[in-house]
Amino acid sequence: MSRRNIFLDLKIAGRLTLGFLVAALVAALAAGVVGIQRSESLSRQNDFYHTLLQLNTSLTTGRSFLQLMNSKAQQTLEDASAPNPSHETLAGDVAALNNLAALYNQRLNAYAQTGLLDQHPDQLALLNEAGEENLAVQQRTLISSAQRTWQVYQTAQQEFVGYISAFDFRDAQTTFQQQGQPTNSDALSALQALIQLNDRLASAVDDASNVEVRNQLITTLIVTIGAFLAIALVGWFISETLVRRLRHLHRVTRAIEEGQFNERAQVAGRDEIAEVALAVNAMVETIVGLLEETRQQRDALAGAAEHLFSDMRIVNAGDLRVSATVSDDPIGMLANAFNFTVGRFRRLVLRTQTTIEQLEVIARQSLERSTNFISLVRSQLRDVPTSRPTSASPTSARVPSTGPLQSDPHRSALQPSGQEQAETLLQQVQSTRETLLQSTREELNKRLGGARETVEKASRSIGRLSELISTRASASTGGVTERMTQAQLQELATMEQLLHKLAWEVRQTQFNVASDFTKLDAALVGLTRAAGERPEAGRPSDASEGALLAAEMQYQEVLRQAGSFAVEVNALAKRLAAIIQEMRSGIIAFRLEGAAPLSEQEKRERSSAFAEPPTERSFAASSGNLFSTW
Amino acid sequence: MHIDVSGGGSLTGLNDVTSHKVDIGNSDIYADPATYPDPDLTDHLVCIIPFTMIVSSDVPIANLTQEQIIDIFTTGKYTNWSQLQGPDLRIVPIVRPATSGTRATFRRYVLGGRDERSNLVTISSSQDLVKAVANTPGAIGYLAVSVLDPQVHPISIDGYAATLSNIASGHYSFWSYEHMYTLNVTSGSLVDRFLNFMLTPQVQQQATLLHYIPIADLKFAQVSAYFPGATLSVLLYPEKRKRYFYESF
Repeated sequence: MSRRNIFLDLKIAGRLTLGFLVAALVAALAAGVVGIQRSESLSRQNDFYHTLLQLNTSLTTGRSFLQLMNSKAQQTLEDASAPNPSHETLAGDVAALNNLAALYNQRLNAYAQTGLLDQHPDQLALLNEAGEENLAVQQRTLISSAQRTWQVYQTAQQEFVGYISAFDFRDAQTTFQQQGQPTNSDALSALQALIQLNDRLASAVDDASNVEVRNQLITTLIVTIGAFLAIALVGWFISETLVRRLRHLHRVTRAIEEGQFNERAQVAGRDEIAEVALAVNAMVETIVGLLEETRQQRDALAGAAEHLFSDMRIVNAGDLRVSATVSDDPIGMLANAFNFTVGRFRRLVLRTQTTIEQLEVIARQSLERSTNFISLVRSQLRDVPTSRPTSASPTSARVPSTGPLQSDPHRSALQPSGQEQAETLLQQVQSTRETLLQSTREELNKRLGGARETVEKASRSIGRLSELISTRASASTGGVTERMTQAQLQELATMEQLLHKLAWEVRQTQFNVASDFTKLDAALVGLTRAAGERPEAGRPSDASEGALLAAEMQYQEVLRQAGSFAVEVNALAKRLAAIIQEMRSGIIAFRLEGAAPLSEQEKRERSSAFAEPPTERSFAASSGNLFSTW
Repeated sequence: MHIDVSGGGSLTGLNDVTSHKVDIGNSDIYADPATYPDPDLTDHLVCIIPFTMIVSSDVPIANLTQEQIIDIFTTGKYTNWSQLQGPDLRIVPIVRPATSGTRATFRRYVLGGRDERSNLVTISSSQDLVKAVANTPGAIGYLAVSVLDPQVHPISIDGYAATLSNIASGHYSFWSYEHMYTLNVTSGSLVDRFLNFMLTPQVQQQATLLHYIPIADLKFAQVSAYFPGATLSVLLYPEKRKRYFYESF
């Protein structure tokens, strides 16, 4: 394993270079092995051929020596057969024969000593390759044969030379013919066989070279395959140090891509891949840190949104004193907008409350005055004789004679003089009308108009607020925030509906009050006109009883109409009171003063208690008691 | 492919192969380059045939010198076995005809090239010669050891019998190579394979059973040492060396 680590410590370029060098070395070795084998084989064959050529030349020369010896012996005999043979010539002939014999002997011995295959193991190996190992035995046999025949011939020649030297020419001739020539031919034949063996040796070397070529082909194939395998092994080893680790790195990055942030790349060695693995690990650490930071921010936002939502629920429950925590994050900005909206809404409700109180005062005054007026009219009617009940309204018949109104100073003031009473009544009616007109025109319209305007403004603020929240909601993601935003939007919608209802009620009230005032005004105008006509009718009635009676009747009629008008005003005031009550009950749930922040528990209690609005009916009960007597 | 074998003598085989009648001509003798000048004529030595002198069973002699043999067959010096410390029996030399390789070898290596006397009894085949020697009192002849018969007595030459060791040591020279002559044999051909087959240990072993000597068995102690020049001459012609060789020459 330590070897492996050493490789991994190398840079990739260095490792590749090493791999290529090893591969090149393997290829060079393979080529070298083949080449050396080939060159050895060629050199061996070359040596063999060279030896064969030398031997062949030597043997061929030897053959010519043998032939020369034969012809020289023949010539010696011719020289000897001359009439007076020259001793010197014969001695020269004998010397030549001996010299030739020595030369031939030398050649043959040289062959036997150095030319034998047995003495050359490399040549023998070559013949073995060709399957011609028999040739070594044959060579030995043939050289023995050549030596044996030479020996016999040499003996015959020595005998011949002996006879010549003794001048025994007859015996010399006999020896030459009987033994010399035949043994010479035997020696030649044996030498010829030895020379021919060289041909067979040469062809055997050819065969051997063919075998060697085949062997070399096989060797080349084996070495090539071996080199290929070795190079492939080197390549595989090099690529294994790269590919497997790259694959591992890829697997790790894929795992991280799929969210498994606890995965880390293994770092082995000190090469580029190890550097990349280290970089990947560092990158993953950074990403994990960033993710943690983002999660913390998200949690903080979710907490802030939860707070805001809680505040909204409190506001929804009617507590407008809440002020949400403001910060510089989106939720904080939302909270700021929320605070602003709640503040404006709170001011609107306060103004509406004030208006309602003023309206209540007006309504109470109107009720009081109309009640007084009714009791005054009723007392006037009670003084009129019962003989003229023709145009008495059904309501007047039902009016019970109750105590509280009978002690009214207006009624007693009306009694002494009808004329004065009418005048006073007329004046009162006119003043009442004016008061009513004034309150209608100036106060009520203004107040109600202001209320409507405020409601519309609040509605617009709520619209903007919900728009803002929607924008924030679309900008940010996350379940909690979205849910919070939805709840806020719901609350705002509810609030907007309430405001709309309030606006409608105010408008309705304005409309009702306006129409009632119009009716009241018309009735008062009619009453005033009737009162103005009465003195004109009264003047002629002074003249006659009938006229007076008619005037009396007319007065009674006016009274009755005034009473019915007062009853209408009374009813109007009661309806106004009822509307005010309704408005008050609409805003009674809001807590406006002492904007102390509430604890979470309180907020929750408030928001849960929102479903049951408080029922305060004291004013309604009192007014009901008041009008139940009518 | 089948092989026809025919006899006729050592020269017959040589003549037939040079005239392309047969593929392989067997012979005991060397082909004279002057008589058979074809350079393609190739000599294959396949084994060694030792020859021996034989006498009829009534001649109780175990050894003769070369000189004595020459005097019996060529000069006619000895005509009665009593001259050679034997019984009083006329010496009857029985010889082979001129075509015989055995006769040629006998003349060359025993008689030293000398002619046999004329008017000697001539027997054409070795088998007949065995019978003739066995049935003729005082008869002497020569043959290959392969046809040696218990009816006749082999005798040593100069004290050496026809054994492998005597041949290898150079003391016994009455032997010959068995030649197989061919023409134009290409390597790997049928004839070539047959010649190689003849040299296989199986065939050589078979030849041993016929009293031939396998070619590989003849290993001279040292090839050069076998050839001391005059040794054989002394061996063959001890008297002549005394008579004709002198230092001054």
